[in-house]
Amino acid sequence: MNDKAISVSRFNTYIKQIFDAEELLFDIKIYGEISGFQIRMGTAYFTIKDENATLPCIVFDYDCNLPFKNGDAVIITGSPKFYIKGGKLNFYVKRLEFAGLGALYQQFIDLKNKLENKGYFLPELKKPIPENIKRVGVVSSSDGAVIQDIINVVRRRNKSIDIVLYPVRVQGNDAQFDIAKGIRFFDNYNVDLIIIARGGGSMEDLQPFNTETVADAIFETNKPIVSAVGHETDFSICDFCADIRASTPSVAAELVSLNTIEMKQRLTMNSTRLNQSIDKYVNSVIKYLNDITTLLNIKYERYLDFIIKDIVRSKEKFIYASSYYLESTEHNLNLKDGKLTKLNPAEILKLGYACIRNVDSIKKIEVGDSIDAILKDGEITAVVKTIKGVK
Amino acid sequence: MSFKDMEKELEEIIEKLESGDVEFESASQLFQRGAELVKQMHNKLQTEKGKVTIIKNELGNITEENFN
Repeated sequence: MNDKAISVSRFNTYIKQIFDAEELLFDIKIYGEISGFQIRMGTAYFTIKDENATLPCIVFDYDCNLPFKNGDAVIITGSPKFYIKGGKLNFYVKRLEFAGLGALYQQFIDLKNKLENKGYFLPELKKPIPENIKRVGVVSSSDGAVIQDIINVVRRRNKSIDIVLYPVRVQGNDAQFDIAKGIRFFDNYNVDLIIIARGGGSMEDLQPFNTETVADAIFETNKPIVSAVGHETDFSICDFCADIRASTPSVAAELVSLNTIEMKQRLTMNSTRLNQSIDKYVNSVIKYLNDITTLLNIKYERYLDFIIKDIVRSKEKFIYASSYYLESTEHNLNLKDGKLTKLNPAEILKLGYACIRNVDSIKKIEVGDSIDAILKDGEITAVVKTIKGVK
Repeated sequence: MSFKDMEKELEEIIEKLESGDVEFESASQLFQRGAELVKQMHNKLQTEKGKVTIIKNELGNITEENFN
């Protein structure tokens, strides 16, 4: 064995000591792009690289909710550690943050968390969109397609709404102050609602809408605010603070303008329905009256029929009763006639009796008086010769 | 009264009339009210054409001028 040779362990330990002793390597910042990102047992492993080199990194106690992924440009802060057993160098990351746009995103996340904690996004604080909006205040650039889109959409849907533009810069460092000023201006101006609008752009372009200045202005405004910043996939602090987020300026215009075309169509339909409903109602009443009349007629006819039959029955009874009466009367008369016949004096005379006229007692005549008598076949005058009886 | 409220009342009137479950005099009154609502709603939709303006701030002097 060569006396100058040292063991691997000793060499690696020596190397580790060099790294550990180098103050320049304490909390050093390195920028690069993440690749091979993976998490195992709460520890993140990835490689940070640039065009010509790579460096293996380890993050202990990694928060799985952090949004880092392969391809992200990041800045890592920490120190290299040489691993004696494996003879490898790893960079132990104390802080991991986005670089460039990533830094803006980090700033965005930090501000969002801060405002959320201050209650700026509370749903119960969101104001509803008024129904009948007459005047809309728009905080946007006077140039470009955004304001024209808003005007076109509002006009297409509702011709009566006034659109008032507060022109602002929507890009650059001072744009946030313009935007906040516009919002506060409209809060005390004759508009029913405020739209904050900007077209799509990079995260840097949208930066003015991701500021606390704009957030404060929105939060402190009493009027309803619709935020339409960037494309559908872009979310801004302005969106979170506003009462309603519209995915695009055109959608914001639709939200605030009642569609009078649809309203007119519905009115026409309801007007027709109203007329049809009263026609239907009147027809149903007429039908009801007809039904009632028919029913009454049927009942009346039945009643009449009943009356007529009753009369006929009564008449028949009367006739029967009358004929019986007549018959019995005739019978009685016949009986009486028979009795009368028997009492007729002529019939008595026929039996051989004579009727003395004007004398009905011996006390009224004397012997020698003439008396007239009627016999069955004639009359005679006779002289009283004797009288018997007590006078 | 807002257009929406009037529309709601009109639809309720129509539904009552369509159901037929109202006295004749009530039906007549409902129809008259409905016709009045249609008239008012129609008038609401016939408003003037809105303006498009831009705020001008010259040394604190705020004015509203026509835009475009």
